[in-house]
Amino acid sequence: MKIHVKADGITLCIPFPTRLLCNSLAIRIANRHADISIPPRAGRAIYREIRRLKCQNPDWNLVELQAAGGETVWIRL
Amino acid sequence: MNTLGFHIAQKRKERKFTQEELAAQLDVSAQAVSKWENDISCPDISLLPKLAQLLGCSVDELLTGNTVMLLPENQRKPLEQLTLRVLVYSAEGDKVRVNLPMPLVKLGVEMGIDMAANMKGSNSMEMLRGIDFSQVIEMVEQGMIGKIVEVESADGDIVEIIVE
Repeated sequence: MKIHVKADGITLCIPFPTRLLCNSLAIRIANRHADISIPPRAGRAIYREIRRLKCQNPDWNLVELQAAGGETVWIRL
Repeated sequence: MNTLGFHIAQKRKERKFTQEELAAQLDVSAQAVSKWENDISCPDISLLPKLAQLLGCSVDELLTGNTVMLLPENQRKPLEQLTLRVLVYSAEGDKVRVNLPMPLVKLGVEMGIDMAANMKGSNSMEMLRGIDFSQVIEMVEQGMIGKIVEVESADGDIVEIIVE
């Protein structure tokens, strides 16, 4: 997936491997530090579902954020 | 804009009717339709069911703008083709839109992930805490689509959950 940030005329695109985000270690770290509760075993199934979605809709915007100040952030699969 | 006139105009344009065509179907003048759409007057209460039928919506949807629909079995889409959108409009002017495919939401619920509990970080997201996503999925499986949740906090934040 790609994280796009647009602020003050600067556009940033950060490619991020989805597999890295969905592995059990990443989920354990997120659970500990971001105070969320996702079972580590869920990673593989979530990844499979994201892959299927990405094949069907390559330009799927998972999250779109528009700040009042004009900054825009969007996460595209 | 959340007025009856606005909804009539919006639905009429969606259906590609002219004011004259709609008026002819309802046995009223085109000027009457124009007045409804500009909120100068309102249609007679007895015309509302026929008006709603012509515009392809419910009377409730026409009056309130709530676009929740219960689709009959032959018109339902499979879960794979549906999207759950979480829209957050903060009082400060920030807008957040999360587009989740329904299979992913279902997967999360089946795996026991408390979706609402994981939406932390702002008052707007905290408002979603009470929502049982398994019930949302059940409703969607029974054919309900549209804006199924709308919450407004005391701070002025608005959260909407739309299935489409």
